[in-house]
Amino acid sequence: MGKKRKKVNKKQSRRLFLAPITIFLLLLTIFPFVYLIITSLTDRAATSPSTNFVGLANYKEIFLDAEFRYSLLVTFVITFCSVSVQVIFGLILALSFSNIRSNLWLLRALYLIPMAAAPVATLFNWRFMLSSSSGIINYIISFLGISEVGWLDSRTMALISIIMVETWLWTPFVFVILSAAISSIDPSVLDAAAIDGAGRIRIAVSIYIPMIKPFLIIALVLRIIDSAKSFDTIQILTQGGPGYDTASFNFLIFKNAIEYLNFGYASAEAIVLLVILLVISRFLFNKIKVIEG
Amino acid sequence: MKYLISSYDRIVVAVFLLVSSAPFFWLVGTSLKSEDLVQQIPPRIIPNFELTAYKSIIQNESMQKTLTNSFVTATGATLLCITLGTMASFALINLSSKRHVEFEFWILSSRLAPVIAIVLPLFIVFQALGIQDTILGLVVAHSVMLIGLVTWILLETFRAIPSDVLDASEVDGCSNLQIFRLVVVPLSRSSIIGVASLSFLLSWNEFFLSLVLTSSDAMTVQVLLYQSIGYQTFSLSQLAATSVVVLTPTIVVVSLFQKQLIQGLTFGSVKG
Repeated sequence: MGKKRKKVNKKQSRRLFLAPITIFLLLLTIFPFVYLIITSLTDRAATSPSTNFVGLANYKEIFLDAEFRYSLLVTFVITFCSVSVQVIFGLILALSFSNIRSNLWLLRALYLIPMAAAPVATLFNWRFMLSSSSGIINYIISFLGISEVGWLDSRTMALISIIMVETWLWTPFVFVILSAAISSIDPSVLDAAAIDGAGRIRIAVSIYIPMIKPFLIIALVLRIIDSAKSFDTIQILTQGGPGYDTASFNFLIFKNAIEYLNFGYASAEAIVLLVILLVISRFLFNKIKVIEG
Repeated sequence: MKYLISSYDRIVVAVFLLVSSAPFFWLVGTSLKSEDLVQQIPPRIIPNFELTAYKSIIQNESMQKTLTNSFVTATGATLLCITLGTMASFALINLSSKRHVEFEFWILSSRLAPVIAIVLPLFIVFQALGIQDTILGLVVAHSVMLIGLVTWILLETFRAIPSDVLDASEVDGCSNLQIFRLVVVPLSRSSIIGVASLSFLLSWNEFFLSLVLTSSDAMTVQVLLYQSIGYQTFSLSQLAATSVVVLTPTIVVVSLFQKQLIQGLTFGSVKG
């Protein structure tokens, strides 16, 4: 009896090991978050000496702000286009990768490099490659008879470039998730289908996709969330330009907060972004639950 | 059937490989070109294999300083996260499966939050405390970003230790601290090294927090690289050489710690 109690006490005293992380997280995530909410209700700005409580005025202003609505549209376009292309490409690659049945770690490692690499280094390189007069990409396509393209010069082209680079960066992410899901499918199912004469598209549509659907959705959810918050690509490729044409919502908050030092307004925007992300992910996670039964 | 269609599959795999690696060849090529060759129109594909750019950036003072800052920050954040993370995971080792799911959800939800929502209050508070633009501030900020991920992977690792081992050491009269130091940590050594490398990499690569929270003294090499793109303080081949240097930790982690890398980057949807 005594021994047992001692054991229980020991397990309980293990909780002491939680103290440092708890203090750390309370100080550095809970407190800042509360602070963010409070700041969002004020007109705090580094440029004005006094801070006044303004209630929900910042939020009201956000919803009347044309810049905000435009940035939501930019975020939506970039997220929608790049994530759909990433999922299609990731799926195609994962299917082919599993068909050749080579699980070479080296090959997989080479696919992983874009997303594991320092974003500033790879994005700087892309900007340099996309340069209109001396860039390698315009040089390569000139052999196809396409004349010089201003990749980052107009709104449409800048958006296309951002989507292209995001696709290059994140297709491996979808690939890794789907490829793991595919390798867990029992190969005898596939062999049976092949013997029955099912073609490759038929096998993909009727066997692979239904069997990996939960993973497909997880990949989709994570990509949507990350893409909606994406910052590095826009900051390095276009700085939101030309003008504010490619300023996503996250980028706009950064501008208002760190460049214009409008803390109150930017805090309110950050809260709005957080709420949007929560709503979207809640919705998508419910979908996963429905599928998993 | 499988063998008939495999030439299509080989082509797909090869095309994707080409597209994802070609930019890196171009980057390395640029770093090995001399200045006049980089500017050449039309661009030259084959470099002239000069190491001038590397030599000049290694001797550059701001490059040395920011590389050191990045290294110290990444090391500090990793040590802090591993210390707090191993301790927390040890405490949570016997978590019931229901609680475990809750914990995983908490980690996942920390991924939902836009970084700006965390960094904006930190920015204001750091200014008030006077730790804006210090390595200490940056270490703390990076740790906030990493701690959930590190703890979560460590918890998975610790939970894989057979409970008999823990019970046996308890019966032998080990204190909790002894079990932690002499049993749990040594048994998970290889995973801990993997997680530490991943955490180092993510902190080293981090751009957004460093951009917001540093301006000169604590500036990391990522921010320096970013600023140099606009200001032309460095030539293109020097920037490319810097990028190649900056990518070294990536190569190490991708080749040695793929399991933790995949676990970390996909946030547990793949066990690696």
